[in-house]
Amino acid sequence: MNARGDDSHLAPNPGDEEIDARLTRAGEGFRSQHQPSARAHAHLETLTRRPRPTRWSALAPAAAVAAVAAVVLAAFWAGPILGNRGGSPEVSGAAAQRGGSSWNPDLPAGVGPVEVAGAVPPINESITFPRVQLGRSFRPRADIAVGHPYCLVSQLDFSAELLGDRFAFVARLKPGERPCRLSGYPYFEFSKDGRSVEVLGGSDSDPRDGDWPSDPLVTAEQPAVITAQVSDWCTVQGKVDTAIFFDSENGTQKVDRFPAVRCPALTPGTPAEPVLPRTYWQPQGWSAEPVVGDFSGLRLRLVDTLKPDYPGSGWDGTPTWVVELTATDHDVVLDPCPGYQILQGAESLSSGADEWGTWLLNCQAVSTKGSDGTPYLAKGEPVRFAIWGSPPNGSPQTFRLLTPSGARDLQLDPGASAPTGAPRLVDEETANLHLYVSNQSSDRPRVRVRVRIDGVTLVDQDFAVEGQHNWVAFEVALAAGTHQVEITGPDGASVIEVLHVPARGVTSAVTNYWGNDGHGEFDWRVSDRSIAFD
Amino acid sequence: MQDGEEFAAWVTPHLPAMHRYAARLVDPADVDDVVQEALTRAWVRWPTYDAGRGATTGWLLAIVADKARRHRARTRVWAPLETMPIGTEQPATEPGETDVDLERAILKLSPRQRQVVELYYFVGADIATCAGALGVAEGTVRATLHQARAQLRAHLRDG
Repeated sequence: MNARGDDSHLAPNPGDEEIDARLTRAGEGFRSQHQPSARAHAHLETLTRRPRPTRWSALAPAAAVAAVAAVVLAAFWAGPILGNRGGSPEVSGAAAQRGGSSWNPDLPAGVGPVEVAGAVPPINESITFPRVQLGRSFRPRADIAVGHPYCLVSQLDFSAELLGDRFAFVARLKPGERPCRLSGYPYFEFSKDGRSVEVLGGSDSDPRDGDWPSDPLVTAEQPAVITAQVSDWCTVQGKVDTAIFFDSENGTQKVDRFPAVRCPALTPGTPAEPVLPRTYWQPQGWSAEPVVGDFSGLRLRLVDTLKPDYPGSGWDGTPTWVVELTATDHDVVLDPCPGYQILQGAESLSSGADEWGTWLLNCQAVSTKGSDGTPYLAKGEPVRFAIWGSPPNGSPQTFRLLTPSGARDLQLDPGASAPTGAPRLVDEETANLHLYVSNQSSDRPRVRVRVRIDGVTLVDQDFAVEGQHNWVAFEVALAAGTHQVEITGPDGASVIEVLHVPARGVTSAVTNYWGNDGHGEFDWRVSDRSIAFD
Repeated sequence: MQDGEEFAAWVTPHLPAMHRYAARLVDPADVDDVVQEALTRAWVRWPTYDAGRGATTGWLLAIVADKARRHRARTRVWAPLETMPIGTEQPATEPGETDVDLERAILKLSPRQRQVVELYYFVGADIATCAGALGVAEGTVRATLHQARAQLRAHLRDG
């Protein structure tokens, strides 16, 4: 055994030592060239100067004991309801400015549909798209699909075929439709002998680094194939009556002409019911309910989730959830775009593997838009968003399953309502406005800044530059509605802004004093998300 | 802030490993972002860190891996090396010189094998740290290393 604990190369294979030496040499060379950057040290210094953020799990102990994951429709529900498609939705909500080196919403983007449909490059004709040959390995090229619009179910025809213990789903473009890419899981459910069964999503559809969805391109000539594996296929002896159901605009399409499957005799005592863990998640304390509030009529369901260490799964590293939004009886404007908070974890959250994350849906990629371009969810036309999750720390062995009948609807947390009364400073948990103030002056190491909201002075103190990394947080309770913010400082710096506070959710605002050569001014930025500074 | 100073002192010795691991997992331009996100995560999660569950480096590297995965999922970067044939370059002999063939062969490993190789050889983590970062037993790491080397030999031989 060497000093680092590896005795595996002592196996009697001379080639092992040779490759070990080559790897060691490459590793030493690599390490000699890679040292932490000054930016990492600076970030660490800035990071630890601020109070540690409150963990969501501390605020939700009931959720913290949940087994796997929780999805909560996030705050800031607001927005009118469209009566007809193509109307002119009213845009509401606080205007958010983003950009600049100190402005980092610190939220994972890339929630599918990721790319905004629109101007797309032509297909790269030099790339050969593999022909569909059922029964052979097929790897859709996700890379050439990038930039193409997402497929609508109405554009596609589906068929399926049994391949050993797998099914291959073939998506073909209908005549006259443009090439498009698939995103998220295909809409299908599996049944066997009249019962829904669990289906393993095909993990070999993605050429690299992660499972489906990988956005394979679908063209009329080159349909895409997605494979799915039946996980408990032979727990029932004898002929299996199989069908696949595809959702479509006109209802559910049933595909049932599959060859008979003969399962081997079961070992006596084998339970007829599969013992597979449930793949959809229904943690304690959460039940199925449609969305309530301003987005009334919207329904949300988690179609898929991850499960660590499932037998037969390959290492993935990029598990995926699919969240479906469905408008039940009318169109629903997706502006502001809903966000989600997801708690994920392993079997026991006490292991420290639980983690909250917030995802932004890319509502701009929804194909149904109002006349002014505002996305909306059309009645009867569900939209699915793929969210790339990540395995809990220490549990990279993950995989995902398609659920037998779709995940159950999730209970939605409307979030705390905005407080009432005059503006006032409160503790962080009570606040619905996080106000950050800093001194970015180049010639004044300390400046006095006053912030008044609706005439109430909330901030009146000196602010030190401290390397331009000294944002001081003030936690404010503000009633829902429109407020006037007045900020004053030295050298004529003064600004009056209008701040809109939604009925639910938290607003963040930042103002920085900039002073140079006797001239001072403030900037002012507002976000409906939590923010971080670098 | 006392708490912050303690955290900084605790995490700083592990910054090189975090940086190197990030450099193996994402594009050079994204390394700092990933390390930065990992530091933020570690800072938030620090109270939950349990030294009894494994080495500090392993815990931090797991966070780096997590952030790198998220980053890749967002950016969908494709490694150009993967499309190039193996066997067209000579092995590196000088310190700091990239062994291009070896790098290409590493890209052909399974994700788990590749991760073990990255951690053990390029980050410089020991077996226990690799195991901690990957959430597997040390024996699994050794076995995976053994399999990875065999795969690399085959890839380098076959081109």
